Amino acid sequence: MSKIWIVIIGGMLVTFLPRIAPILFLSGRKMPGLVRRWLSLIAPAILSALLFPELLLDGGSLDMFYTRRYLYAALPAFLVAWKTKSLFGTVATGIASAALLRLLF
Amino acid sequence: MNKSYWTSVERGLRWSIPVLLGFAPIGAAYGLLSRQTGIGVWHTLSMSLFVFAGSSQFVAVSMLQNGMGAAAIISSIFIVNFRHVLMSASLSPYLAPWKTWQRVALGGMLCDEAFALHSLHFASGDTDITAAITLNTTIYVVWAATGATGYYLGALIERPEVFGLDFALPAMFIALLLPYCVKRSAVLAALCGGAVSVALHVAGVGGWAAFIGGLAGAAAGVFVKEPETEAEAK
Repeated sequence: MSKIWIVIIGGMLVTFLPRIAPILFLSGRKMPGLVRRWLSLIAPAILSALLFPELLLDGGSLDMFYTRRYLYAALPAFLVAWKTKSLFGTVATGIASAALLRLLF
Repeated sequence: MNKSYWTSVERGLRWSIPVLLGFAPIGAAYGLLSRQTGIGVWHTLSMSLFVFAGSSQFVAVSMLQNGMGAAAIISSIFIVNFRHVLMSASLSPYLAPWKTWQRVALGGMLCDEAFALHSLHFASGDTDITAAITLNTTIYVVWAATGATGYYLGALIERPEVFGLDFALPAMFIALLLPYCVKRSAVLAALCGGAVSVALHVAGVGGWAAFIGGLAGAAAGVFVKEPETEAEAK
């Protein structure tokens, strides 16, 4: 078997199992309140763990983070999300702001 | 909830629109990169179908290009994508009534954006199975299709940033994060998760950043006393 197929099959196993194992085996289990609270806070924690580096870092560096285009494109998106709670409106605003900032700077 | 099947399908499709706006250019960029690396179109498509993990696929393709060994590449895919174990665990309390195939469909085709949407919907009491699985399936199909399309046509949209499309997914994260920020515990979880993740990226271990940030941020939030949380839990 060629190396790329080994990578594809191996890659499938190591991504599929972590995705389905908790859903298959934890669903319906009784869990202590503390664990339930922890699980309910994973969404905000992981979303900002994905978002913050995008806004602040350039190639893994915090240097000059205040010059990041994404950081400023995020401000109008943030406002629209806050005021309208519209997912599509926020994404459209973000896209337009990023394009505009790129055009201007 | 007594909605007809097609109403649910339509809801799932509508939810998928902003995700696809962000995914399509990334899928096309993946296809193009894969071609430039000398990988065949079937391998490119198979990777999208079997691995289905955006950042992991980019990592895998560039490691293949650099001639790294299969074990090292598979380990990297595992690390970068391991955050899904947290997402899967976090959705599990809502899925007790679901059939096994429905859980496999929800977990097996899980991505960051679908997780964030499911999480919001489930927490608000909206556990529309058909809509959730429609969302997953649509993203899955379009991700694979744009990868294959980008393989041939990627050069046409080589610079999605000109149109601001590179910011579609960060903007989506903003929209999905804000609704949580009405609770102090969630605000603390988000701030800690983000800070830990940035620190890990700066330290050069960005592959683990989302997993450890998610784990640590949620743990920090647990310690915030919030009387109304227990009432809302059920």
